[in-house]
Amino acid sequence: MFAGERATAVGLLALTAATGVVMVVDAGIAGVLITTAFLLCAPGWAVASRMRMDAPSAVWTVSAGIGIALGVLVAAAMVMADSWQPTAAMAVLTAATALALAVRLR
Amino acid sequence: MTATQMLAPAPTRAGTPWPLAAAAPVLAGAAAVLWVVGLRPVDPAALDSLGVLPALSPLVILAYPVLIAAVVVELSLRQPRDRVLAVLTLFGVVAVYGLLPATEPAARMPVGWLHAGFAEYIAEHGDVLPRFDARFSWPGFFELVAMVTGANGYEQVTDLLQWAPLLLGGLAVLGVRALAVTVLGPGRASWFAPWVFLLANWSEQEYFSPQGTSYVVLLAGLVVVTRHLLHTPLLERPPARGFLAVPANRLRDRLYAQIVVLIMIVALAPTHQLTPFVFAAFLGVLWLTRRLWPGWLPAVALLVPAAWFAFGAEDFWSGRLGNLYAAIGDLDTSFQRNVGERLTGDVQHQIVVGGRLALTGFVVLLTAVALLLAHRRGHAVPALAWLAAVPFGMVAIQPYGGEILIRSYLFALPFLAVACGLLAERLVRSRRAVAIAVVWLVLSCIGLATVVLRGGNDSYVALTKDEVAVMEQAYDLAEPGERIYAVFNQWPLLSGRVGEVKQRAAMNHCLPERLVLDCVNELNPEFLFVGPAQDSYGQMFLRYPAGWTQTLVDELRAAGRYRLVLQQGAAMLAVRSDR
Repeated sequence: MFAGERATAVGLLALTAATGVVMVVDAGIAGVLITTAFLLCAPGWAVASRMRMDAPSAVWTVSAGIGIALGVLVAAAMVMADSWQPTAAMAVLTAATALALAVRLR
Repeated sequence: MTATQMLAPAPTRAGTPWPLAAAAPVLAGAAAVLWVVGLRPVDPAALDSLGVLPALSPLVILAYPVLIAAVVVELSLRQPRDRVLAVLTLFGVVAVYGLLPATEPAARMPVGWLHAGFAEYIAEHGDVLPRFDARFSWPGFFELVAMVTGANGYEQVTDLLQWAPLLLGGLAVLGVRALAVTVLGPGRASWFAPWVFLLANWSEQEYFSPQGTSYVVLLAGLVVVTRHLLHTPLLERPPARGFLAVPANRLRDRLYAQIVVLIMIVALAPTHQLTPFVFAAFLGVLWLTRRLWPGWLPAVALLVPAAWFAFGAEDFWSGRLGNLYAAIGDLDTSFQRNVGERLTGDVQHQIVVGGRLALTGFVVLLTAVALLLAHRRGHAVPALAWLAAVPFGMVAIQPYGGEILIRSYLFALPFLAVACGLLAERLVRSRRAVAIAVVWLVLSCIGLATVVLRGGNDSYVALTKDEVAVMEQAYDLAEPGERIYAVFNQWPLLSGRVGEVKQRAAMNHCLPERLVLDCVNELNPEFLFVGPAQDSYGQMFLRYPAGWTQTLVDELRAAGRYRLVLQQGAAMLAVRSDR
């Protein structure tokens, strides 16, 4: 793992932690923006950074694409299962992402 | 040497003289000053059929060619600097996608308000509303937004509308840069491509919408496919026959790539009507041109959204399958809906629509020239040409409410931009001043046209704060089951109380030649909402006199049928007198 990648992983881990915090405290629109940033960057980067994408633009594009796709699938699954629990779903997503990023940092 | 390697910048031994190295940052700084100083509030109620153009400061307009000069100068250096170009591109994204959010008082595009209302409904009820609106048959985007806001206990989804174009447009530009790097290598051409995309994208589909969001996923999917799942790069000649070789990368990369693309295919299916099928078509082109390694991918990319259409979108097609089938191959109707019916309204509006068609034609023409020259240089161009052409095939399948040409252009634009990037790179690499000036001039003309054309409908798609405030009051006053009607669709329709309060445009239920007054009297809604956007729409498309909305309310009041309960600026809410 390159030094730049390590720094990115640490930054995204911090963003993931912040996402967990804003779900607990009432952060208003800031909470929504932090959660959006998390979704667009963190889960996808944990996957894309393992794929040798060469250019930073490719890494972040694929990260955003994976994040949106995962978010849609989780949200759609809740609606289809008639079990709408957005906070719990986001908590699972942040925990899984934190784990993936921590493994990446090892 | 491969074709992709040929496109990489020439290595340099000598450093760049400092005046040349400083030119791009200085020009960009000047552009930033012009843009920021020239920004001034735009009042949508004061716009005419030319849209936002008359309301823009000359300083803002001047900022774009200066910024483009910075980009062209930097790309003309022997060794262009990626960091400088990244900063310039970021500024370009802000200047193009941030201009209208920064100057207009409320989020534009009434459909975006409706999307926010749908997301709020799901956040509140945890479900979609059956048999309510075709868009609820592809609810993925609304569910995603509902999850993000719901997890934070935040209810005002409409707060996200204003700046959504900057985020989604920026991600699309990033995606085109990534695609260009994958296809063309990291040289000049792959910097020109995102700039062509940015400057030629007049389609305005990056607002708060399923299409704007699914477009990012589409580009990400294309990047993964072109990076890891092609055994022959896009611009190189594939083997004429025999088995296709495995891509020259690690098994782990190919495995990850296939899983990631599969996840994206499954997520796109319930998110948007067109995007997953276009993705399947792109994969089909890559397979048919003997480049795509996993042959199962196009089939799965087609079957998954087809299955969603059959089982998940039954509300949409139930009772109208005949119409959908009848539209296939009906080019006359499609052309009429996408071109003929759009070239209506007053002369100024027709200039705006004509400008969009001309810009589309110009970019397609540049692409044809670029591909021809690339072919003569030894590149294999059929795959890129087909990728740029195949979205336009949708015109023969569905008119899509008169929007299919816009969407076709948007889907084709990344590949048009990649091809145009090749052309610009060739001209700039010649290092002749005239060639470099031509690149600057063409990009500047395209960019200025796009900035003007993007805001060309703003007299009726931009909303005032008054309209938003009056609509909020209407939601406060209406009882469940009551009807809030406007005359036309240009209002914050369904931005709240979805499924609880009926909200429609009256003229959707009356023949166009019918008098508005008669139409409202016949439908007899409890609330009537009118505002400047509707006023402009009536003036432009039906030649109503300026201020007709005020006259309408006055006549309804004079007849004793309605009373005015709220007026802010030109936005009015009237309530039926017997309510």
